[in-house]
Amino acid sequence: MEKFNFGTGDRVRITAKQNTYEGIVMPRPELADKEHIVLKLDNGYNIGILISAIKNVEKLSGPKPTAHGSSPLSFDQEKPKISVIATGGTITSKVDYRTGGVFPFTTPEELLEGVPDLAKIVNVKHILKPFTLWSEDMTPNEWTVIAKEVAKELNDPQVHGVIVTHGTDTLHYTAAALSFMLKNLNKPVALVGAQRSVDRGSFDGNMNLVCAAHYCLSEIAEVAVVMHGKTDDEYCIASRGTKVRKMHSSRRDTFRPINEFPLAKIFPDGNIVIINPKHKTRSNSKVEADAKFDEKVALIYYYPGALPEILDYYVSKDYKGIIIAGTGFGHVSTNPLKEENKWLNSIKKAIEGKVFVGITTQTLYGGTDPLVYSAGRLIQEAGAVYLKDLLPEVAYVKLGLVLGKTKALSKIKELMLTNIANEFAERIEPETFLY
Amino acid sequence: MDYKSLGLKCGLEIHQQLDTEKLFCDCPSILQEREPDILIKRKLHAVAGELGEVDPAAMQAALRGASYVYQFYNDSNCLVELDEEPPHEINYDVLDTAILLSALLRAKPVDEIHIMRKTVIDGSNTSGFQRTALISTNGELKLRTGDKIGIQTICVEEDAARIISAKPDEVVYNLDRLGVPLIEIATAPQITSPEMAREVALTLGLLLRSTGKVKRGIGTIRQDLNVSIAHGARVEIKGVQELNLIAKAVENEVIRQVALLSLRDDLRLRNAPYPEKKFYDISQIFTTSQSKIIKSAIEFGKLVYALKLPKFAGLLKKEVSPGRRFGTELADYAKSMGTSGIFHSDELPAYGVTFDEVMRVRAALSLTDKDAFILIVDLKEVSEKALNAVVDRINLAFEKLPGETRKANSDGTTSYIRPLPGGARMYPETDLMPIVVQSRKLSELKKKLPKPPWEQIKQIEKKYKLSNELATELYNENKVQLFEKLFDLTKIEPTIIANTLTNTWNSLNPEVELSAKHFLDLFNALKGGKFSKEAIPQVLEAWLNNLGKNLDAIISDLGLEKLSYADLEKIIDKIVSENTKLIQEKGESALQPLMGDIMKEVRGRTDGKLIMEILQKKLGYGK
Repeated sequence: MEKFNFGTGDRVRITAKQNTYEGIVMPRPELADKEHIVLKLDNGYNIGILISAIKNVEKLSGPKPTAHGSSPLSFDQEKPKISVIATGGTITSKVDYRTGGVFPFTTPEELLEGVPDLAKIVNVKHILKPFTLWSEDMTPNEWTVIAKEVAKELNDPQVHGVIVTHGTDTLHYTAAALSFMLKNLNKPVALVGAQRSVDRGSFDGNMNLVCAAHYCLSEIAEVAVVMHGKTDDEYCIASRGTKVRKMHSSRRDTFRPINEFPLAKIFPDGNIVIINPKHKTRSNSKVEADAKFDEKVALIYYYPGALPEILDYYVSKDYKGIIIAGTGFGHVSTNPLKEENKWLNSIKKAIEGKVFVGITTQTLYGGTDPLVYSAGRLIQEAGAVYLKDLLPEVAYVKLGLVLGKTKALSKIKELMLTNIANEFAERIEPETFLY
Repeated sequence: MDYKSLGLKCGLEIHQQLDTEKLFCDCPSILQEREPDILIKRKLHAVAGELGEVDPAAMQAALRGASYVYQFYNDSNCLVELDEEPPHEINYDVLDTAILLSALLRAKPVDEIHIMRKTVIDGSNTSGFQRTALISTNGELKLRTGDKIGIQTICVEEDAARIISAKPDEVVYNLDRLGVPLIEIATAPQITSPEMAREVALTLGLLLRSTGKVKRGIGTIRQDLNVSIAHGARVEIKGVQELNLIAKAVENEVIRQVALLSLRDDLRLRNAPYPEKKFYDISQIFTTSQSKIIKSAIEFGKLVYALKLPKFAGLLKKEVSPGRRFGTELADYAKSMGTSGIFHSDELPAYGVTFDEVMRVRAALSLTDKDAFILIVDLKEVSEKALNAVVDRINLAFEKLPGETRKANSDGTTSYIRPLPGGARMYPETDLMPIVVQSRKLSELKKKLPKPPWEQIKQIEKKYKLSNELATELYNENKVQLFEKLFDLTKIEPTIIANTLTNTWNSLNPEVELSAKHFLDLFNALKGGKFSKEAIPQVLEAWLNNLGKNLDAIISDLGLEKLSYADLEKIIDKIVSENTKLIQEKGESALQPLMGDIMKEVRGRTDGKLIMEILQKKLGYGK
């Protein structure tokens, strides 16, 4: 490359073995091989040219400065104020059409460029950006940071509600964390992500944000995930932060309420249809972020043939709590053909070592039950605690927070079984399945 | 027409559907006729910037924030077409075909293929973009005539969804076609005559078919033309469906541009003023009009607006291409703004508008008989937009020809649809990695390459002594194998078989397919003398209408059993005796009319050649 002395953005004429091309040198996609360079031709197409086949490069001009014109859009100061906390992910990214590169945006005006309809609903005073991370890169530490920011904003009397924008992969963990951490919640908190990027006409974050803004002005004082209700762009659903899960890797309507109905359907025109009346309403209470999380917690996924030594490992590493996502009603192997597959001894050892063991189910839908099969009875007798219909991820988040308060097994058990943020569905209605 | 001195420049762009799975998912590319399984409703949010090529009605709808309804079929679609799943890896079958085709056209493949997203906002792609990739550039097509035409680019891309209906607030698309692979070949603007345009399209079509991967039938190949003449303008003609219309479309476009240039000179000569953008509400004149169009429009609360065109009398009826006047061109511009058309003074009184009404309009606008006017009947907002578009177009007529995107009509003329598109916005498809072409092993692909189509055609032509047209037809319609088999089994004159399989078959426009066995029965019956070759279309048609029936029964129902020599002689004698006067007067030239009368009588029950022989003998003209 150095041999020819040109760089990204330069307009060049390249003479290769078979052909001559003229265009602008583009940045190479991440992780692509190092043997080609990318040229954008005048007809708009990008092509890769094999560097070793290049005979000559004529530099025609240097890079053109990219226009960063300020957006002509602005929020209407008269509209009700809300706050936005942007944590990263697809939803708060801008695309550079020239390169296809994705950049996080920084100002409320830039948010409006992607979702101009927001200005008709709310006034986003400012956008807080505590960090910018893809959601799989987050840790419980970031949940704490978000919770503190949200609490601060909610306690501002001018703010009607808070939108947290977030990558979708672990959005439901953060939703659960905020549900538990925000004590005396007084206003709506909407977590929003996007499954399609903002460069496309089909960007789903557009309607998600519009509906989230409507949610922020509603009476529902709950932490909820507000995203597409179905594949159509017809309405969003607000699903409770402790009863929601990403159920599809790519669909828009990926976030589904589990074991209960969504709190509400929210239409982009502002119409809100309450579906689940079991929710808190707006109040004047002062919100506190009770955010101490003990990271010595693990979530284990049981599978046929899984060896219990994994439990022993965590215990040896000084973990204080373990959630097992068991099969069916919450089972692990208790009576196998091979003794080494038997989990009961390891569970007992963990409990003896003052490590809390909680049982959830991989089926997600439905609850655990220790009494239907002998396996369950044995596991419970060994000291593990059956956590009703708590979702495995929610149980993990809750346990980390409980351990932040106490290490006493009996107290942990009591708190884990107390319904703090409607994380238990007390009664499960049939049509909540695959809603 | 002397195209060379007119400075004709023409380029061709061919989009050919491939008969493979879709380009970026594993759905079959079958089109549906039944009701959709699911309807999905979406919105597209406006992405600022260039608009690219869009359906004008859908575009208008998009700008108003319309909803899109997508018809989804479980056996043609998956989550990818719904924009609910990332694209799968590119279909390598398609990629290899494009690389092979590049080799055939001597186009140089790029070293590394980058899949791009081309922004499309009329809803015809659920994602809001079309995926496309440049495969090769800088090739060359050699024509039979020896001419060489440059090939600028060869691309692969996804086809768009089929538009079903467009209302102002809702556009319906069928998703079956979305994602079907297309190969796009664009030639350089080096075509210099209509005939050459046809030849280029024909040759490229044959070449595409020789890969064995292309879909056949109406709508599977779409040809766009770029046409301009010196001092004219570049015009893009979209969607020429039939090969035979290509030359016609080019010719008509040249005629149109020449006519518009002469219209410009005429305007200058008349010293006509530029019309004013002033529109007059003259609804009063038409309150009791008997014109159905105007009457029903007024009932819907629409108004009649007039535009004055001083010194324009006679220009609006000036023909610019066969059957289309300058007024028709202006009507297209009005229509592109959502109204249904215009009335103009050169065609009135007509459409129920009376002479009296015309005179009253002229009086109201204080026009002389040198002046013209245009009427639009619509809501105020629409009328104003439409009249503005008309005035803008007329003002241009004083200066130059506008560059336009036009659509091909079935009679070889074209209609305006929209201005030329700006550059499409393209950016990388970030869900897929670039593909190194070298990895496709071109040399191995080349081994699979069939003989070039023209060689295959030449071979059939020679072997069976067929005309080049018939051989080409057989090849184009993929019927060479069937033809050869039927010939081997019946040894009937090859031209008869070829003609039956192509021209006769196509003229019947059948909705069903006949098996090889059906054709074999048909030709065996012909060979057995059960009917004459003249009766083939009749027999085929009757059989197609009643496929369950035995062929012998069909023939006897038609009364087509071959006449005996004696019966034929009787008929001829009868006709001759009825026409003695004619024969005396006309002598040898009476043969033709007599022949016609006899043919009518025998209705295909014998050979025409035989009739002529007997007739000539009887009248003493034979050899």
